[in-house]
Amino acid sequence: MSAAGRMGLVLLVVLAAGTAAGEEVWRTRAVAKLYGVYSPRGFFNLVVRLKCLDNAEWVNSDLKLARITVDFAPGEEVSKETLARVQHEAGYRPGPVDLFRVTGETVDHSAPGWMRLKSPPPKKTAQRSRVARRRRG
Amino acid sequence: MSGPSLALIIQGVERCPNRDAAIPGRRGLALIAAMLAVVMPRSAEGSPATFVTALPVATGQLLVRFNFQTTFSNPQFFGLQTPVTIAYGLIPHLALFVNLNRSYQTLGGGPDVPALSSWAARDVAVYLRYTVLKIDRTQSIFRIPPLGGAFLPAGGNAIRGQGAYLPGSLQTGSGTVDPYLGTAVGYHSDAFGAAADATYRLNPVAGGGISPGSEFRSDAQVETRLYPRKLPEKGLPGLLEVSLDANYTRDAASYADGVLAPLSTGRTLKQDLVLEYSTLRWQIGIGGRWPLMQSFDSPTALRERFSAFLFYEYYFSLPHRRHRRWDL
Repeated sequence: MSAAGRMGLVLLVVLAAGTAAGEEVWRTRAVAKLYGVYSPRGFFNLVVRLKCLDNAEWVNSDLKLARITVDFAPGEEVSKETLARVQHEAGYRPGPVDLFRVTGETVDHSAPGWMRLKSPPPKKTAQRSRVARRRRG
Repeated sequence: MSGPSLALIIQGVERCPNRDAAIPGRRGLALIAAMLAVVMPRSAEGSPATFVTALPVATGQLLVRFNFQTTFSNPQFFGLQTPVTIAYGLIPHLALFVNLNRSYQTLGGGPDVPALSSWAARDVAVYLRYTVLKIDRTQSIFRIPPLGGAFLPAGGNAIRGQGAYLPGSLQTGSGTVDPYLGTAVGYHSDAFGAAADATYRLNPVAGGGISPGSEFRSDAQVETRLYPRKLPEKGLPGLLEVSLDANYTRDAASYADGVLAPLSTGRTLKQDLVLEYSTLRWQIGIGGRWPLMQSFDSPTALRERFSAFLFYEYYFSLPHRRHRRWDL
């Protein structure tokens, strides 16, 4: 095999490894049973406290089931105590919390009900970044 | 209040444009005005405590509620109030409430006599609410939160027009710092809710102007969900609810320039019907209020006919530091 061929093979291996690593990205999903939350406003109390967590990114609320589902930033570990604290500071008795690791298709935040906790950066900032990158590049 | 009595007051004010010339009649006018003071300034004003019954405010949460209320009374009284309630969660059990209010009111008027009117800030209520008992279950909540604070004298209790005090119904404050205490109790589930509160506002006698009497209030409320009748399996739907709220008010005797006004106590019972729609971030409501019972010592006291109101409530989360410690 020529040197160019060997280089190509190495490149392919690196790309494949990178793709495989991308598929392994996981998130922590917390599902909390709620006590005392009976109205949309009660869920907002929880959203207020979830916004204090640096790594909480998405939330989904189910009124009938009195349940809240929170997805955290990729690769972030979260404890049950953190979610219990959120409920306590929102003014409610903490309910049981289940933690899962989710990957791939189970992390579909375009489905109805999901709400982003952290706002994406303003467009102007993003545009400025792109312009800066172009200038640097 | 009968027509001739009202005309007497208005004409009395009209005839005394010069302040000095009005002195002999001032005490009499003030006393009559104090009689009127019993009814309108307080019972037309919404109870600050009604809104806070049993609803938790998260730590760091700011809640703002804008109200717009009109009142029509006999004879020829019209009032417009714009109270703003601000609540902030200090810690999980403790919340700070501030009620700001500004109002316009007009009384009387006709082809030959001008109407009397005022437009001014009302007293500001500042109080803390602490939850002493909470029972949280799946989709239901029970709370007992006592509250305590004071009304600060931002309103006017000596507003004058044409050389004399305007009637009490046109005054917007008490002129003193008034201690305010009470408690609320509430049960709510996703389909039904009931709440009640009892509060007392102690009004010391001001040195000058019209001092409304101390006030005891008690409210009871029930509400139920109209739509959706069945909650969806998933998600967070907006809720349309109907609420019935009974408001009892008992006013003690008023004072004018430090002198007890005779026949100035009163009791009222009024019924609210409110339709409200709530979502995750806001709530809007519209309602009407009808008097069920109005009992006054004075046969000439103003009697409320109807009141209509609209409110809009919005929730904010303020920027804050992450909490360092907590305990359940």
